This record gives sequence, structure tokens and C-alpha cells, in this order.
Amino acid sequence: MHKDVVILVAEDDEGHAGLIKRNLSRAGVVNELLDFKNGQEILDFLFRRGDGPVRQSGKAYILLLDIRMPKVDGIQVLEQVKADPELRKMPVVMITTTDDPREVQHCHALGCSNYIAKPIDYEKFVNAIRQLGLFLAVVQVPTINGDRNP
Amino acid sequence: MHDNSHHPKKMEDLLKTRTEELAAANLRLQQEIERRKEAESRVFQLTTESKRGKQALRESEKKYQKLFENVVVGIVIATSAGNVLAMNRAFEEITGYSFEAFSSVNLTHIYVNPEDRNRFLQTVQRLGRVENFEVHLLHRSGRPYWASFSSRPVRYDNQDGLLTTVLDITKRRRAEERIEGLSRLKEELLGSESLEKRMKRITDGVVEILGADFARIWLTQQGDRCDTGCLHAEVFEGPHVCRFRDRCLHLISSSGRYTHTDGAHQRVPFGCYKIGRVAAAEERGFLTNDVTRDPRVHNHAWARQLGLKSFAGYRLISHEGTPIGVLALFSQQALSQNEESLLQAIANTAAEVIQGSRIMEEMARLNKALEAKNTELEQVVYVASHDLRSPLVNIDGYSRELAYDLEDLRRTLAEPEGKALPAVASLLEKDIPESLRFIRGSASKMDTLLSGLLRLSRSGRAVLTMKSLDMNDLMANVVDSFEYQIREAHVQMEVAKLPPCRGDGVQLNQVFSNLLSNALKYLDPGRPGVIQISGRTEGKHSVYCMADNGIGISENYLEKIFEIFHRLDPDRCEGDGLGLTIVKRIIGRLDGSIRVESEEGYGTRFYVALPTVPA
Repeated sequence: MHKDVVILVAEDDEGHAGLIKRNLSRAGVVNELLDFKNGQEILDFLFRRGDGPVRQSGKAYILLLDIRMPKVDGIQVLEQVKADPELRKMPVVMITTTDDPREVQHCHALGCSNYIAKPIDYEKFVNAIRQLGLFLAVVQVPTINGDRNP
Repeated sequence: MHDNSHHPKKMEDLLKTRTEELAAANLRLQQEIERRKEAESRVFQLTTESKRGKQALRESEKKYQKLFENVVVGIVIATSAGNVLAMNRAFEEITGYSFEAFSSVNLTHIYVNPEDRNRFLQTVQRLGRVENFEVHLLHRSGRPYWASFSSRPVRYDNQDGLLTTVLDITKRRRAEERIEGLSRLKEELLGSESLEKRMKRITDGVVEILGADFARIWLTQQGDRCDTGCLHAEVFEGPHVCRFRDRCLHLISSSGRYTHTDGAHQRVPFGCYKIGRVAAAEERGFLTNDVTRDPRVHNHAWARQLGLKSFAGYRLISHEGTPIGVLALFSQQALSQNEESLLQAIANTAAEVIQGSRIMEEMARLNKALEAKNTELEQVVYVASHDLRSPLVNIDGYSRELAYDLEDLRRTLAEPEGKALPAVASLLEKDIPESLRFIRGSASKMDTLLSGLLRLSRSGRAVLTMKSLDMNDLMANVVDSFEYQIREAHVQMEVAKLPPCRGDGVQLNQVFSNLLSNALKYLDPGRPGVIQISGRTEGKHSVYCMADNGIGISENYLEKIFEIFHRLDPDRCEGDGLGLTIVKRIIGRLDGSIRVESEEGYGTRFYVALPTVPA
């Protein structure tokens, strides 16, 4: 993966976010990484609303998305991203403690690129993130323009 | 356990007695036939005797005439061409035709179905005689009736004729038809149709099987138009003042002359007018065969105009003896005792059907409640398993991280001192404390979640003491317990006069404490806080409103606020994400409901609806 790609992590559990970061770095992923604590924050970033940091045009992003978050949940974020003609090209990886097959299927139906269940067993967790690192290494991440509102 | 197979029991009994009655009627008929045969044989004997000579004939003629004329069986002797040779008085009475009239009538006209005449003649031709040929005939007046023919060839006045005896079997046929009709009705009532449809079948049956002019059924239910639209609401004194607002008679079915279920009689107050008095058992087995004069009947002119003769009203009562409705009918014929007992049995059947249907309704309601509970439980388990898993991921993850850190530490310490120190410092001051912080934080998070689940489970198990509550007192207690916070935050607290409701005082105290605590917690620091509590009665519910001018909730999150462990803003305030879940749960257990309206930046209004206190 090109090192200019920015990894967005939408995860309400600070601990989980920390573990993801530590393991991505161990897997050799050195890209810039931005944290979001709930669904609303990541939507504000992606759709350029609110006072916080916003998405820049011409940059490539990949989104790691938890499902159960306060305010707007991951499913709603995924829906909105996939409904936007520009943002829909962005790879979205669901990373969640939920392994309910219906939920997994739902996310795939909505168009997520990958789905990783956070296992309690850390060996598996590390492995999952390593897989993610591999996934990130091969995935083609398009730059997003979508400058309809410059 | 009740089910629908119970209610036809009464009908079954009825059918049994009716069958016995029919057997008795048949026996009587048999005897009648025996008598008739005897009479016939005498007639034959006499006709044979007539051959012996005019002298003998003359002697027996008087005897013969007397017998022929006085036998109660109709007798006619006619040629195959249809020339009437003789007939007796009973025949004239049964058919309505005199000798002259019968001689000149086109015989197909005496049959309701003209082809029956051919059927009769063909049988005579084929067998030479006919026994008990049952046929639907037309009286000369045009009234249809049922008759039974028995015919055999005879020589009369030197001509070949056919002697036919005729019995009027209309009554027997009607009894049979009634039994058939009632059996059919019984079958129909076993179906799974709606209560309205089954009540309609009953009133239809009363009209079709018993020949009522019109029949209606009212059900006892809570008054629904007492204040608006009930025609009796205008009556303030006298015998027609509505006394029981929770017991009003609702017209559910109407058959015969009137088939509408709206209009003046769609609601009858319990205890008023003849229907209400029947329901209240102030009129026991109210039956009159004199509706145009009976003082208990309201409108004599109307009854006269429609040619009504009788009225009967039956109280429908439950197994426990409570009145559940009324079956009533008007008829143009007088009602016999027999018909009255038949109607009573139908009324009993109607009561069984209503009770069966109410039990089914109650079961459906319970099923739905159970389904809702299941969904809620499923959600709780789903969310709880997810939320409990999150801290576990951290505990396992960061303890493994600690292991990595120890590994690093060991490796670093093996290196020369100068090189090792900064790395050791970073591990000791950053990585290891961070891991420990997450492990301990997650353990305490799990503890909070588990206590929350226990609290939720306890809230669903608390024994409820339902009674009528003075909500002014209850709300004053709630507000008092927050006095300190209200004063500290300089909140303007306004509590209006509140209607009472039915509920559990302890549980409702918790509900409103929780709502008030939320209202205080989410006030906007940028403006003086105002919290208003008000209430009003809406139909069967007292609705209480807690309104604040706080930060409000975005429309997108409104449906989530009652979700278990859901916290909109975990950083802003303390809380276990259970408050509103428990509030909703308590209100659900008290047969109430809660809803929320909010506008982000302006404030939030919670509406709690609880059952009113029955008047």
C-alpha cells in the first residue's frame, strides 16, 4: 500500500484502537492514522461537516470501522459512505467484536471490503491485524476527489 | 383452559332435547298414520260394500258420510284425468280449496314446484300406489305448507280413481328445518371467524331459523362515547341516565329488517331502556307477545306499523355470572314457550362464543407481549455479549502486550547500559502503564456492565403493587429529592397540577427520578435551566410530560436512547447507559408507554402515559 494512504480508525474503545495501532505498526504499516471516537465524528470528517478536521481532496483513505459506537453506529456510517458516489470507492474494513453471521452478511451486502471479528484470544487478534496489514498491502486505494463543494 | 369446542355444548343439549321432541312428534305422526290407515280401510270396506247393493249402501251411507267428513285426515278421490270425485272437509281445510274450486283449479298450481306433480304421478304409475310422499304445496291463499300424500287406486262411482290422503306436516317440517338450521349454525360458529362475523351468524340464524323480524346483539364494553357522540349523553335525569360509564352496551350485530349497527341504538347505557334493563337483569327473561300495548315497549305506533307482535331479550352472561351482552329480537309472530327455550339456548351459545373469543384475544395479546419480551431479551443478550466482549479483548490484548514489553525489557537490559536506558524508560513510563491502565479500566468496565445487567434483571422482577396514585404527591417527593441539584444549578422548576393514575409508587418514583436526573444532567450551561412537569388525561391514559430546555437530542439518535447500555456521549457525563432502558421497562410493566420529542439545542420532552384510575 502506498504510504500516502491515510488510515481512518473509527472505534469508540480507546483500548481497541491502541491494540490495532500497535499491531499495524508491528506488521510494518507506517501510514498516517487518524482516530475517531464515534460514528458522528467520522461522518463529519468524511462529509466535511463540523469544526473538526475534514477530509482533503486528492488524498487516498481507508476506513477501519467498528459497528457498535455511540450516536451513529458503524452500519449507518457504512450505509452513508456507500450511498455517496465518491466515497463509495473508499475501502471500508469492519473491525468489530460482533461475529453474528447476519451482521457480517449485512455488512458485505452493503459493500464493505473486508470484515474482521476482534477475537478475545490475542494471538488470533494479532493474526487478524497481520492479515489486515497484508490486505492493506495489496488493496488498491483510489484517491477521492469529489470536490463538488470545494 | 377454554376453547371453542366448549360453547356448542349448550347447542348439543338443545339438539338432544329437540331430537327427543322430534321422536315424540314422529310417534304421534305414526299414530296418526295408523288412525288414517284404519279410516282408509273403512273407506275401502265401505266402497266395496257399496257394490253389494243400493240397499246396503243406503244403510251405510250415513255412516260412511259421517266418517268421511269427520276424519281429521284430508281425503280426496280423483280420476287419473284429474276429475275430482269426492273430498272431505279436512282436505278443504288443509288445501283451502272447496270441491268446486278444487275441481276447476289447474292442479300444477297447488304445488310450490310444479314438477312435483309429475314426480307424484310417475310414482303412482310405476308403483300403483304412493306412501308418505312429502311435498311442498301452496294453500289457496298462497301460503306455502308441507303435506304428506298417500295414494292407492280405488273404484268409486263406477270409475277408476285414486284415493289420496293428505296430512299437513308443516309443523314437523319446520321443527326438522330448525334442527338442521341449528346444527348448521353450530358448525359455522366453530370456525375461526371474527367475533363480529360469528355474532352476525347468530342474529342471521334467529331471523332465518326462527323467523324473527329482526334480531340484534349488544356487547357490554367500556363506554366510548359517553362525553362525545353518545345519544344518551344528553339525558341528565330520569330512568335513562347513564350510570355505568365502564359498562355500555355496544351494538355489534343486526339482522333482518335492520342490518345497520350504527344509529340510535349503537350504544345503550347499562340499565336504561329495555335492552339495558335486560342486561342489568332488571327484566328477567323479558318476553312480550303484545308489543303494541306492553308499557315496557317504547314506541307502540312503530310496532303496530311494522306489524310486530312479540319482543324477547336475553341477557348474555359469563361463566362468572357477569353480564356480557344482550340478544334481542322482534317478531311478527307470537313466540311459543318452545321457541323461547330455543332462543335462550341460542343466547347461551352466543355468550360462550363471546367468552371463547375474548380468551383468544387475550391469548393473542399475551403472545404479542411475549414476543416483544423475547425481542427485548434477544437485544439485551446481543448487546451485552458485545459489550462484555469489548473489555475482554482489551484485558487479553494488553496483558499479552505486557508480556511483549517484558520480553523487550529483558532484551534491552542485556544491552550496554547507555543504550538501554532510554528504551527502558519508554517501556516503564509509557507502554507498561498504558497496558495496565487499559487492563484495569476494562475490568472495572466489565464490573459496571455486570452490575447493570443485574440491576436491569432486578427491575424486571420487582413485585408491583398497583394502586391509584396521587401524582402530585409522588412528583413533589421526586422533586424534593433533587432539591440540592436544582438549587445549585439555579434551575427554574415548574410542576403543574397532575391527574392521578394507576401504578406502582416505588417504580414510578424511580421512573420520574431518572427522567428528572437526565433533564438536570443535560441542561445547556449557556442558559438558565427550566424544567416543566405537566399532565393531562387522554382517553384511558394519564399522560405526564417532563420538558426541559437543555441541549436536546439530535433526531438521528432519538430511537437509540432507550437501547440498553447505549450512551450518546460517554465522555460528557457519567452513567452506565441503563437509566432509560430501565425506565422504559418499568413503564412497560405498568401497561404504560413512553415517547420522546426533542429538538437539538432547544430541549427535550418525555411523555409518559399510564393507565387512568377507573372512575
